[in-house]
Amino acid sequence: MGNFYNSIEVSATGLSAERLAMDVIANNIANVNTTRTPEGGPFHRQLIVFAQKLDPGTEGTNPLDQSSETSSRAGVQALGIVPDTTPDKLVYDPQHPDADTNGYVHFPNIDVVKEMVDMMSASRAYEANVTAIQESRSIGNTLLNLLKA
Amino acid sequence: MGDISYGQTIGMLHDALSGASETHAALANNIANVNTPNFKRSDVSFKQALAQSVPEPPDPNQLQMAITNAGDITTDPTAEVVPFSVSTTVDDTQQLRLDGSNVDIDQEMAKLSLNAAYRQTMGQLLGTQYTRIREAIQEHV
Amino acid sequence: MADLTIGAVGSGLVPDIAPGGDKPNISPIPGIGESPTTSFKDTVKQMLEDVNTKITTSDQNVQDLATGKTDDQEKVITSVEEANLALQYTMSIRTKLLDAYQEISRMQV
Repeated sequence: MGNFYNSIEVSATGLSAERLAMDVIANNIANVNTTRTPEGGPFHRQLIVFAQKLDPGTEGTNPLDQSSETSSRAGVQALGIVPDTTPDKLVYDPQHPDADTNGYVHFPNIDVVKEMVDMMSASRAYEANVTAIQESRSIGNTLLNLLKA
Repeated sequence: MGDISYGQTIGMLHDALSGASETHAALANNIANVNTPNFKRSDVSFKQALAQSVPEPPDPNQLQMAITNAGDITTDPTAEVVPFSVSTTVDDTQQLRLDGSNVDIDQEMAKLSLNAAYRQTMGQLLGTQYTRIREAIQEHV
Repeated sequence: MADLTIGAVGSGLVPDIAPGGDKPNISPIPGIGESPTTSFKDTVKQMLEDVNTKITTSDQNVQDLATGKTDDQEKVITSVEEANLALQYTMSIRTKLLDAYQEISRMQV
């Protein structure tokens, strides 16, 4: 009965991961029309990669190994942020300063509607983790209340 | 004090709280991984083990037990007493999610709520048990 | 000397002092020693058995709720409350009886 603090840490990893996802998505949305970046070319949509987090010291520290003992579950972690390799959106506009030799401007491969849907999903997951933390605290309170008259 | 020893109910309530705590841990992990691709959710079961951890009561008819989910609990009068343990299993069923995960956030939240209600009830009942003992010790109410 | 008969426990806890044989008309609490002529020992024994049964039943109900055998929370909670009240009632009667006993034993004869 003693590991409700552990549950709070698990939920906290969820909060961090979803918040990071929301940051990435917000950045995508903000840059939907960025045709010029320091690296050259338009801004590319960024994806965040999640994987299950397992307690260190258990067999198979490969974070993508889903077959490890379930008792080592430690929530979720963001492995990294990777660019989406789908092709850029091409818009024909020879007058545009960033038009290429054929007159096409490369716009980021970002669909605002999809980003909004992802944002809602991340936001909902964030709320769910908050609820889980509240319940963890409740478990602690239940035990403490046993000591009261 | 009668056929059911006083310690048995308290012990069972402690085990019930343990089981609820483990269930919450599994659900919290499922919820944290709601957006993880190829994640498989886990489940915890303990109620059957709870039923098997105590001997059968002497006269079922007199005590009017109501078996509501007949498929869930089997009461075998000859069953031996098994020490309580919680088992966590990985749920292998496939769900229709494109990223290969079988977590349904609505299901998880519903399970979380149910488990919370159960845990709260068990906690209150345990408190009542302790209060009853305390009142008897103090010899006045 | 007045005929000192202690009425059934629960029927007011007042000794029925009946010099003329007239007993005051006190309605007894249902279930506990209705007849004024029930022996005191039997009444107490009945009460204790009653409490014991209530506690046993409530414990069994609690266990059933914990294992999921029943989901009738109302039944479980009312049985727990009943058992608690029965126990508290018995405890307070015990206290009153002890006080009465001590008071009587202090009486100078």
